[in-house]
Amino acid sequence: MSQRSRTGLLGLALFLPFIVLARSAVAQLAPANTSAFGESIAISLVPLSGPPLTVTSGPLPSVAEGYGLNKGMSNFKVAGVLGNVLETSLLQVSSSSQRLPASPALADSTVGGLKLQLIGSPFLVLKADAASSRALISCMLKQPVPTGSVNLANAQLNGVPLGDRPAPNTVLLDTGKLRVVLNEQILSGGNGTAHLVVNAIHISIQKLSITGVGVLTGEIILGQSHAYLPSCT
Amino acid sequence: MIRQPLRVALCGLALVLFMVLFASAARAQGLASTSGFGESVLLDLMPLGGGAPIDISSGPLPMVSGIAPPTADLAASLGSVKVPVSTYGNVIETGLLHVDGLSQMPFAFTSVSDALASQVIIKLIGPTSFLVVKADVASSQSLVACGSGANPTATGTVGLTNGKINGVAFDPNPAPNTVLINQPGLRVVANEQILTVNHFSTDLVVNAIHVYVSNLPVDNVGTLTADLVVAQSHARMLLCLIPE
Repeated sequence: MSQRSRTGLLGLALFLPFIVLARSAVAQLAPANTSAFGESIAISLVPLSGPPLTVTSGPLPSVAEGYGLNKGMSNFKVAGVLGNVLETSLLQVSSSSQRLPASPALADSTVGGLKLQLIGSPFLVLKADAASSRALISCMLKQPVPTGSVNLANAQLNGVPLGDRPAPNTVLLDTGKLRVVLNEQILSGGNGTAHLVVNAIHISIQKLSITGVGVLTGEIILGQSHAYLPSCT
Repeated sequence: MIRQPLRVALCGLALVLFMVLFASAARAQGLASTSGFGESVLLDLMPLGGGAPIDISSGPLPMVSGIAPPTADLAASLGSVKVPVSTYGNVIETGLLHVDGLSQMPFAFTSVSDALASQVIIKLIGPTSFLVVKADVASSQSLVACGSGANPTATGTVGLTNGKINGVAFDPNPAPNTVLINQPGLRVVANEQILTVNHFSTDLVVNAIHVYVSNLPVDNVGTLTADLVVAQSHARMLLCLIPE
């Protein structure tokens, strides 16, 4: 073997560990991703006469990708066509993950003094002293462990009390055109990754005819927490 | 020189002792714990002229507390709190208070606690209040988890939305242990973090707002001693038994 080849091989051998180290460092530093918001509303109403009306708000307040971020708002209202669609006394969100590899990803969201009322002579009124959600993904034995939870305090739907700790994906109402889900949990991932979205309350409306008002379509999410952990190594 | 059998016996004894101590610590406090509360008030006023002392206490309210395993997932809310002190008005007023705590043990080595209080008004007493602290939202979070190391990592955060002390705005995300006021007999700390790490556990208490009053003479009122905490989160974890 010539001197030049030997030097080249030696250089490569010296360089290789650095490449491997760098790749491993990049893999370990793949960041967790967390986010949360208090409310998100998008409603469209086609009235019996006149042009379509839309009501949009949020996501507010929102935080994303932080190592200990939080935001709060108080006395928040979303005005609709016929009165307020949403009133809250408090919206608080936080998103946190630790900077170390294999550390947990955590997000939570709390809505306080909640009153949600759908347009028209109120056919859907949802109230709660507090509605909170949390998404947490930790690592155990190099595998992600996701935990989602939702807590409701003194919640009522059209005057009927709801449980404080709804099971994941509790469907309160599903008429085909109107669907109300509590503690909605959407989990995905695989191969050592996990992605968890938790919605305290999710209301979907698809071309719902409201007597004397018009046709309503919309999406309302209250108290969303989202955590993503790309790796447990 | 210690003989071989004696050395083995001593090592064995040390190991057993460690396991006994660890087991008793685990039995007493669980492998992980989580707790939190919205407000806590202790106040003692010695009125001028030697009248009977006024003792006021409130809370901790609402409160959650749990140890794991099994997995603890707790929450509590309270609509509002007002704590009156004699004829001097309310020493603290809040809107909604909400706390929750989660420990994933035995499925993962993570313990977390959150506390928040809305529409917070702390007013220390007298014809003219000498201390007024306000915040639209005061929140704290304590997170203790086992990541890639053998020891738990603790992280505390506090948020104070539209916080003001005696009319002066302060940072909505104060650094840990930010002292807002420090004068004889009166100390106000935002984002107070008390971290305790020993051979057995890592323990983090986070207080959004902590007001200490110690034998403070208040004009035309008396001598005041008080301890007020708003939004406390507390998470604790024993050793990371299975390091990642």
